[in-house]
Amino acid sequence: MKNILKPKTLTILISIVFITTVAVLSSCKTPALIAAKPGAQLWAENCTRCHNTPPPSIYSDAQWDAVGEHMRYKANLTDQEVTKVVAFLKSAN
Amino acid sequence: MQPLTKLKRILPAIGLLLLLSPITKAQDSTTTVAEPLQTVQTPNSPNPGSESFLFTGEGSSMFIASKDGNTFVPLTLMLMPLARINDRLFLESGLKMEMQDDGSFAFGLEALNLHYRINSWLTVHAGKFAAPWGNVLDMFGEGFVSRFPIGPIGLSDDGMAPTDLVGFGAQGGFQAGTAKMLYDVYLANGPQLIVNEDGLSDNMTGHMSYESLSDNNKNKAIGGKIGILPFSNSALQIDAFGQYTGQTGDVGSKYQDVSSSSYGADFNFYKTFNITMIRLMGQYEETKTGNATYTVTDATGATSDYTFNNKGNSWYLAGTIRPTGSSNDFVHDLELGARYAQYDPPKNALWGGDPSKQVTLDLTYWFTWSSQVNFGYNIQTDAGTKLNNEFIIRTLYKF
Repeated sequence: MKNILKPKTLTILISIVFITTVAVLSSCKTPALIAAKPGAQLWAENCTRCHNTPPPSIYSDAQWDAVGEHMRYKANLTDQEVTKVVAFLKSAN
Repeated sequence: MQPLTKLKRILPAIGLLLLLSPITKAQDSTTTVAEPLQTVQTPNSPNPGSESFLFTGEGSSMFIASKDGNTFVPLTLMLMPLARINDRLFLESGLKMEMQDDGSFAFGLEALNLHYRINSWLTVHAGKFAAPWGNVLDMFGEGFVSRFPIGPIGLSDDGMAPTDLVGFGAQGGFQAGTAKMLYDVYLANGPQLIVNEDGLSDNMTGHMSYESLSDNNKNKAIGGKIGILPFSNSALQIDAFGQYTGQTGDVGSKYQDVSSSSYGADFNFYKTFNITMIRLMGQYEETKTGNATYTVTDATGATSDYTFNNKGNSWYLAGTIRPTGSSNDFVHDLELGARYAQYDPPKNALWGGDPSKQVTLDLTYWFTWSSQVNFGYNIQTDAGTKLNNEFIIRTLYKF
């Protein structure tokens, strides 16, 4: 029992439980209400979490790709959110 | 512990990661909009690649008026080249330039962080990055989203919690029912214990240095953040974060085993009522450093032992209001904010004392979605001593 409670063993155990939990939760089916959200709605909801919504015309398509990827990491956007928001911004710029 | 033994211990976790990656395929398939990448392939390149590049950043200047005098604070320029190298690799970088009194610029590398996306919910990254440590440094770290001309006391470089990290980590965000969850975990060089035996004035002994790029021992800091956005419209985000380092002192020194643990929580909420958008945000963080007895030398040259309960905390609460639905263009672009911040350092530390308190009021006018002028009023006590109130004007342009 003492061995299991060593800090490093405990860290690894917690990591495994954490990763498994994330994997299971992320594999759950997305509710239809969420999956049906258009890019424009996700753009408004997610940008406003931190800042004003940027107008689509300020960047080119390639630049929006870079911005979308940056927000994936900066704001922890989900894969679907990044894809839909970037597609909307490209279509509207 | 030998490196090989360490490796053996983390191998199961790595294996599990790889095994679980395909689980997300089902979720990926629900994506309804897919944009083709612009690819460029040369005859000598076996792997097709593409690159989307954005050179962005912001510049700001500030004017501060108080009974102590009036001064323009020199220009600060933040350059942020971002490169989406292909659909999995992304490089973010940040270079900060601050004008000095003699007109020269001081440069600082704020970030140089390479991300590799493994699947829809897992990205690994390595380099220098800002600690995912509360919304002051993380969500509201860039000037154009901070909404106040100056930061809250005790929650950035002037505080006791992690700011900059060099190491690697894993992060992601995913849908969990109607809620969204996010995580960000890392292994980094960690903080270094400051030990200075010379003099009592400006002596930071017992404080941590979070800005060192190299490590002073073999121990590493482990930390991270988990967050939840419980509402389907992402209006509320709540995060909890922590970091632990078993050793912070120089290797071989009697302070090597002094540990440091930090933890905290934050929230951010926005909602539009009729024509007005209201935002509430806050953060609490606490740091405890292991017990140690330090030796200090006073002005007469006499040495003495020095120890204290090395525990401190910082927190802030803020709110802003903006009439986003107003038909008047000028009123529409105004945002009013108020913030209270408090920093409680260890009372008996050479660098500690009574709590510092700060009230900051702000009126922002938005020229564009990201460029602004802030009119701020700052009321502050520093370790129980009232400072002169300050009137602050900041202009900030994002490009």
